[in-house]
Amino acid sequence: MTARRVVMLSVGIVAIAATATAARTVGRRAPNDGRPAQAGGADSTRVAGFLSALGTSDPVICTMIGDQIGNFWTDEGREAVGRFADAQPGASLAQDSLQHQISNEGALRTLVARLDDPNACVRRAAAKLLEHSSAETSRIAALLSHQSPRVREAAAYALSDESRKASRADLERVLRAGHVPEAAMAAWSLGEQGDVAAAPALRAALGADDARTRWAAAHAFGELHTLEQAPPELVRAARSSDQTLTLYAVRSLAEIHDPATVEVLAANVDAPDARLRLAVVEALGETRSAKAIPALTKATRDVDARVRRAATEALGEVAKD
Amino acid sequence: MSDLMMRTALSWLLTYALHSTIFLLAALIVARRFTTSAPVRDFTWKLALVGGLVTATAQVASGVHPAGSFALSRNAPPAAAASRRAKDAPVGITAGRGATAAAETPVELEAFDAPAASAPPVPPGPQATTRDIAWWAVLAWALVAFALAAAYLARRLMLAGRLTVRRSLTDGPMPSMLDALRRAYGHRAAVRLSAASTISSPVAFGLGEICVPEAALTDLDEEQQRGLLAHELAHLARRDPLWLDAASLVERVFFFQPLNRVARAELQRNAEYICDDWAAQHHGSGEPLARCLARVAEWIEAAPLGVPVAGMAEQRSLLVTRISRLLEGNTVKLRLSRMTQVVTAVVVVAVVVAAAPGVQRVIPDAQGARGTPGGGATDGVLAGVSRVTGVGPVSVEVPSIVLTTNGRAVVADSAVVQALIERLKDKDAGVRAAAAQSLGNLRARRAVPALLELVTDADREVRGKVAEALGELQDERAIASLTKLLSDESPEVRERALNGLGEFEHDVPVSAILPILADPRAEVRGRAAELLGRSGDRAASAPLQKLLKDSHADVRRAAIEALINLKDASAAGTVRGFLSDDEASVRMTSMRYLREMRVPVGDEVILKAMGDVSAEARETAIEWAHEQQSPAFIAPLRKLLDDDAPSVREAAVDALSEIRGTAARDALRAALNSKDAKVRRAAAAALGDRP
Repeated sequence: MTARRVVMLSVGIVAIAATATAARTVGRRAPNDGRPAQAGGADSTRVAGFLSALGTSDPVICTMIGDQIGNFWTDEGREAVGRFADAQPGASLAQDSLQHQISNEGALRTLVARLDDPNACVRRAAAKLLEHSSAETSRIAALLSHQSPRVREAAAYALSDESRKASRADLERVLRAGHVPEAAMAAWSLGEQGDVAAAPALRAALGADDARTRWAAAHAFGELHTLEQAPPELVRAARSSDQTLTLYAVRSLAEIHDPATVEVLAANVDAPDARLRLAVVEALGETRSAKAIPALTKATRDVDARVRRAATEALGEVAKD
Repeated sequence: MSDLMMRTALSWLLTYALHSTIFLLAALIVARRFTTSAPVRDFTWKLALVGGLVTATAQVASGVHPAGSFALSRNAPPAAAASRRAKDAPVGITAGRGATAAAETPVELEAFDAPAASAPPVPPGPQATTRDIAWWAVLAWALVAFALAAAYLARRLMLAGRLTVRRSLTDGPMPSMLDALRRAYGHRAAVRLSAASTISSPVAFGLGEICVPEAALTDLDEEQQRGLLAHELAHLARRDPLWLDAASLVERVFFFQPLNRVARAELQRNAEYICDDWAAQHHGSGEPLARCLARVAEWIEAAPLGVPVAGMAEQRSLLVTRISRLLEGNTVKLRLSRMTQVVTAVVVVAVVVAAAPGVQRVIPDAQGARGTPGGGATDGVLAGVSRVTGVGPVSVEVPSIVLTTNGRAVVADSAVVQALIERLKDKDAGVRAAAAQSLGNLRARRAVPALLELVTDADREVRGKVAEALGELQDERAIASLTKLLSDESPEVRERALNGLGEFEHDVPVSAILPILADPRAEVRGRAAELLGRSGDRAASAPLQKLLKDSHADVRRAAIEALINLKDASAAGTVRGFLSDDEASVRMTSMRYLREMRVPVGDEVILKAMGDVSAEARETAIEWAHEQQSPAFIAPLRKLLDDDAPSVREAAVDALSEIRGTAARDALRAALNSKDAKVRRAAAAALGDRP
């Protein structure tokens, strides 16, 4: 066993022990923005141990755990099923505690501090925990003006929740400023907030110099659930020579269900990227427009089985209407 | 007239208006610009007159809709729709689909899915629909056409009345001349020759009669008589009387096409020229006929016959020209062979059917079809075509709508269905399953044979979707295969097959369902019991009674309901035991069984049920007691006036209202003090109705 592995294992054990201990501690609730508070949030020790463990783990593991934060956690502790009999219940409790809203001031300070962590995975995990924390939105939004671009980007990420809508104007300001990388993250967060009032700023962002900002803006339109008409800028994006931008735009058009977009969608039915063709077929199906039938019929003969299946399913719905 | 017939009639009339205009204008141009030959003109006008009728019928019946075609819309009046654009807005008339999108420029008054940009929404509320307008349009046309046709027939009858006094000519020179001419012409059909004093011009009738004025027997010399008979015989040989009758009726029935009048007049004119030419050619000279025409013209009085007939000199305006032609020998030699005529007619008609725009009918969508009076049309009738503008680089036929006998609108017979059928053979099971599901959604009955081939698919999802689709399609060919799937190794497939069979109104094979009663899944057993109840087959009674012992309450309830449907009272003893079943739904269904089977039970049984812990069961028991009209129930009913459940209190007061006698009246009076206002009102009303 190499020294490096010994160190990593030790850190991991310490992190797990710390979170297990913290699991039995009920965190103090801090004032929030009226968002639902949850009991049992992790304290600073647990948060610090967790983030440190992530930082020293394999990047793949770190990313997977970062993705899992907030997802697929049972919160059943000792009674959880689907776990091995000899698994340590303390670890499960520690994991569940991280799902709860963090309100411990020390833990919040730790999270804010780790927004500047050199490890992007750790920053993301910290931002995600901060997003679900009881930290006031204005406190996070203030970080959008932080001198570190890493903090600004992570802060924008931490605002990507419907309960953080109060920060819309701040995010729009960041988006208009167009500084990389926080502008792209601001566009993404505006989409996650789902406030259709952000549409004008996002429309402008579709013409941003930075490709990631354009992609995020195109994606964000699909999250504005009350949007019923596709903005012309988004339709143009679906005709872009940038296939990634086209893909994001098409996926958003699929969410908007605007029959007026059938033509631009159908124009991509022969795209070389199977992901794009699949998105096109799904979007055409969502329009419920008879005009989509020719393109869908053609897509039933696509080389990709996923596309064929999606087209076949969509035809059964569109032609029925 | 059903909605479908009305729409078909309107689309046919509009298509005819378009096509007849094309034919008649083309005939006008050909006749005026390109030929002076009377036979060629005659053929052209006949083709123009009939062509529109043939091509309109062919297009509407076949569903061919060339580029530029229009479609009747679902909801909105055409005129209004042309000025309206809105997302998903109903429209009036839409332009047709081109062969490819790249080549197509839609001649679009309104699209089905108009872009939403700057689209004011269609205001809700009552509005005239296309169907309304179509009804009025077709009705107005029918009334006017009937009136004009009736007027024409009346005048024909008047002419026939004038000819009732005619006498047959069998002796004398004219019958001999006629026979000689017939032989010379090769006219085999018998021709009757008659004379009448009530006409002033010779006339050819039907297929075989020539009637001449009495004056023709005395005032014309032999050469003139021969010319006259030759001319009229030519009319009969050419069947001109029938053509003129047909043209006159077309002119009146399709009055909205003014060019039909021109066509009829041209037919009449050319018929005279051609018959003159025939007579002159067979006589060797036109001079006797010319003299005859001049003589006959003198007889014609101010009043002509009044209807277009194959009369020798009915069209006095033509006489000068005709006499000049005959005297100058200016007859036309160019003729068209019969083969040329047939080939030309077929080619022209085919081209017009394939290329000329028409108006397609579109029926209401599925919901509309169900809700439309008379919407249930004959199975398999092609009823509608929706326009699809080619999008991007692809283009496809639009789905047609077919109505089944039960009025369900379905989409079938299109490139969409064909594409989905092809996908049933896809190498990917997910695609095959999706194709089966979509074909079921679209009620595409022509996919049944292809779906049947998939009942043995290796993938259980595919088999399940096929079972569902076959159920949706309700095609009797699928019953055997669905029955086979009842023994599939997959419980999901078995359940779907059972559900599929459940979609059929009849022909559910009881023998195939019986084994399913032992299925390990309670849902399947319950569904099987339900289907057995619907079958009406008493052979299912014994197995259903066994199912009464099922451990699952829903299955027991389904079995009792099935026995009710089978009207099988033999299970009364067992069912009575279920009045104390743990499940309220079973107890209630048992009560219903005992009531509907009219099983005699003692009052104590009902009284016990009225005290059930379930409010719904108490309510059901009150209804049961209600039917008994027994005073024994008054006291418990009075008690139930204070039940916790409002529905029970109301049921109790309703039951008391139906029971006569002082005790019931007293109970109702007590109900006037109820805390429940509904109970008080019901009690007051019941007391007020009592004598």
